[in-house]
Amino acid sequence: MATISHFKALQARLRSPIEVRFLLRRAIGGLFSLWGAVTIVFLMLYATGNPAEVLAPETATAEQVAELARQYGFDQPIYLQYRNFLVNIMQGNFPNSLYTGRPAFQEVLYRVPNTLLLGLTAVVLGALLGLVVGYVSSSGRSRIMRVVPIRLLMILQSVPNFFMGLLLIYFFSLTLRWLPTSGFSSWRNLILPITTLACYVAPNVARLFRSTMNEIRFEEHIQTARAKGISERAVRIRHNAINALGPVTTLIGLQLGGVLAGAVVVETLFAYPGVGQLLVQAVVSRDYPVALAAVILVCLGYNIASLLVDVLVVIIDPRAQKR
Amino acid sequence: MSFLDISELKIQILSRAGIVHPVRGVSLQIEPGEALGLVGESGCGKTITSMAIAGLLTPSATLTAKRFVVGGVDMSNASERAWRNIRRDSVGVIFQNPMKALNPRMLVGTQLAEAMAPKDRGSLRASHMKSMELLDSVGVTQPKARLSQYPHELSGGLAQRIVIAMALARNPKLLIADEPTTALDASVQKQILDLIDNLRKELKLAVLMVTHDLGVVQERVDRVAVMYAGRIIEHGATDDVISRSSHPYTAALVAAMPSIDRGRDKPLQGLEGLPPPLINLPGGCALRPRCALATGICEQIDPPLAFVERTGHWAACHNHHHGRVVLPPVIADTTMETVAPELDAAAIMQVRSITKVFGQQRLLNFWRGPRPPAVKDVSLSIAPGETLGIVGESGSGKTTVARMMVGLEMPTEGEILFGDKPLSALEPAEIGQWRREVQFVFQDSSSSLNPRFTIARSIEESLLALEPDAQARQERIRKLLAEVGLTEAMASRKPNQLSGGQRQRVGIARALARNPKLMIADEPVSALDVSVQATILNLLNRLRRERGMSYIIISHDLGVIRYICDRMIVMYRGDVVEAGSTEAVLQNPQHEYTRRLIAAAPNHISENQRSTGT
Repeated sequence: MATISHFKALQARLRSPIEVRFLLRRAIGGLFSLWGAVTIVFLMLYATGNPAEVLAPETATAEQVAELARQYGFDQPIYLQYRNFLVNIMQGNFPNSLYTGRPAFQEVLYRVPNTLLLGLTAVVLGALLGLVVGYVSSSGRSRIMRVVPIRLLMILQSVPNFFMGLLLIYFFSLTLRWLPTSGFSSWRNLILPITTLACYVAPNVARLFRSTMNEIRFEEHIQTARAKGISERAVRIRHNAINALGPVTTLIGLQLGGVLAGAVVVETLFAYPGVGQLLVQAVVSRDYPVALAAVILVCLGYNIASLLVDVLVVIIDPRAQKR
Repeated sequence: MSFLDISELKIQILSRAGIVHPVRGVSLQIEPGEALGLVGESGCGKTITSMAIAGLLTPSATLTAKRFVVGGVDMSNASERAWRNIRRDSVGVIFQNPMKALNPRMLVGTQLAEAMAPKDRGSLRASHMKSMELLDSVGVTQPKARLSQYPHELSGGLAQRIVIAMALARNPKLLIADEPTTALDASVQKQILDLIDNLRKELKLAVLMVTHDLGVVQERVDRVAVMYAGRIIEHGATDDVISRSSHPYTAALVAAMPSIDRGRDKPLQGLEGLPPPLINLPGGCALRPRCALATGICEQIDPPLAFVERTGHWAACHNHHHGRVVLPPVIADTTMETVAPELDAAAIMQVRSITKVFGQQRLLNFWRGPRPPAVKDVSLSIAPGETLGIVGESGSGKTTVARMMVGLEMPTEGEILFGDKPLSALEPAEIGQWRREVQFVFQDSSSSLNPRFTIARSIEESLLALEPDAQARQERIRKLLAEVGLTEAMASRKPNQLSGGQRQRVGIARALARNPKLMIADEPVSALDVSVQATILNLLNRLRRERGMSYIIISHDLGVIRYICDRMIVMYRGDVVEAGSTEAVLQNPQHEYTRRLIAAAPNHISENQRSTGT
């Protein structure tokens, strides 16, 4: 709508919504949580006992285990190990993969674009679908519009992720033979995994968007907007829907985290070469450096996403900047 | 030719319980440049009438009218589009709570631009010019800076000015103001009313002012219409209606108003009871159950609005031809023999130069610098049987002082004494005594009562420690309810089934349950209708007489303070700027701020005008 962009332009001209101080505060907070995540990973490594014993093949002798421990520095005092661990991570300096022999970090980075393509497309499509359905279920003209689409989405939500994937494979690949079951050769391989993940995102978004919109509809400023004599559509979109985006954006950010986790299942199911599949393979084959790098990268991605989300929320609702 | 001409307006709302009739035949005319006040208790249909005039009814409401003309256009069967055009071009609306009436997400400048005509917001430059012009006309200082502020960064008064500027953006002919100052401080209230007054004169606006407070409309509007139960029951020139009320309801509203020039010797008269629910209304006069003058005819015939020769205006009452309306005699417990406070006795509590600074220095907030204190070096003491009023605008620190006295906040500096011991040095037994003898009554009882608890259970909670025997507890609850004027039937209800006044009575009963010596009440009546307010104030006075309690009453309303307090202190930005006996402070204010507060108090009805009412 032309009018919306007009007011956006005016709003932007008047004042930038983001304060540097807020960004700084949020970024420092993000660093702290990243540090926390890394520390938890470090502690987990020790929760199972001597990591060298876990790493070593089952047939290894005591000498071989000790050799491995020395090689990876597991024989040093724990605070030194922790320091080296942090320094290595900051330098992106991971041990080589135990299988391919290539640097673990590169191994993971190589897969990142695939997962991003899958995850981001799924979140964007799922969020869009959720927003449209949420809007319609709150502001639709007829009762059918308000009730049917959201009920359908609710049914989708009650189907678990992996089962959804199996259903899609059964229907579209095996029965109709329209789409490939697995692999990574063309864009057609992406459709089913993306659909599966989007079905996980959309219902939550739709439900929250609808309830937030319904809440805001009874706020007094909606009446003020109507009293200005602007069209009902403008009231619904500019004052009701956009005001309701704040909590929804936060949710979408959380869903992004959920999708990264969900990707582990979906990528395995569709044999899609992403970070999730790599992580599963690394865990199964006890390729500890690769698993570590994958976990840390996922944490980093999640942190960056939540920072972006916080910034977006402030753009939508400037009160969020003040605590 | 009237700008607004409505005749026999009726509104029906379909609800689960049946058809509600919030407006049952209202006729109004407003000329350009004229102001009409629409007055009544909440639930009388005045807000819904004003919203109907702006075409802002909920979709579930249907409207019928014999005549409904706005600006020469017949709107009785108008489409939504026609209504939108009327709202856009000829009607401006001002809402009760300016902080909620602005979209929290949008800058002031954007919201203003949205209200403008397309030619004014054709370009960023044009909308900027027009915005500055509008803000200037409503007396906003630094208009340029305001444009790039968000609503939450504004004060209430400033926000209301911006709402008014928005209403004026397309040069309307009619301004509807729905309780425009109820949510604002007294000093700001006067400024906003003056502003509306000036705009009306300058722009020849027709103004519809909706309010529950007769003091607000007096001297501001030419004519006033009093609404009760969906009908206009009295209508005429403002001074006439207030000083020579022809209807017992209007007379009761006048008699219920506290005022700074009303002495304690003239008791306020509350109107007991509530407006009737407007569903399945029985025939006859709607005021009948609350009216002391009701006779047989009132039960049968709903009196029509008729011209009263004697008073020269219109009223709907069977009794007006009996001569002037006589209110029932003042009920015994509202009379006032003031108990002389025992000033020589040891104080119950003392506050010794306390200061409160909010907000701890946080690790990541080091660049903010120290915050200004909310309370600066405040001292006070309260003797047995004494009533102390604390006055000040919002943000003056008056509530913070009270909260510190009951331990809800800790002072940053200074000490608070209970008896002769500082709170920090109290033994556990003494802490129990302090918590028992000093009770707090909240402003909004609807949020301070647990919505899932029955009234009896809410009160019982306070009694648990004092009265181990369940039987005796129920007995006490019954007595307490009777003491605050509630029937036993209320005991089993939930808070949402009570009216605001009844909930406030429950709050008081809960405080009384522990036999306090001192009751600290934070704005105990500010959320209530004037008529209910009077009954609560009278209740407080009666309790004080019967129990010999002390009160600390926090209020922004000097009339309330004058009516109930022996001594008062005036707070301004955390400082006590004036203290002394209520009479002395109000008659002979020393501090500039106190003088301003007194000047800003809504125009109150002087004693001679009131004589007919009492």
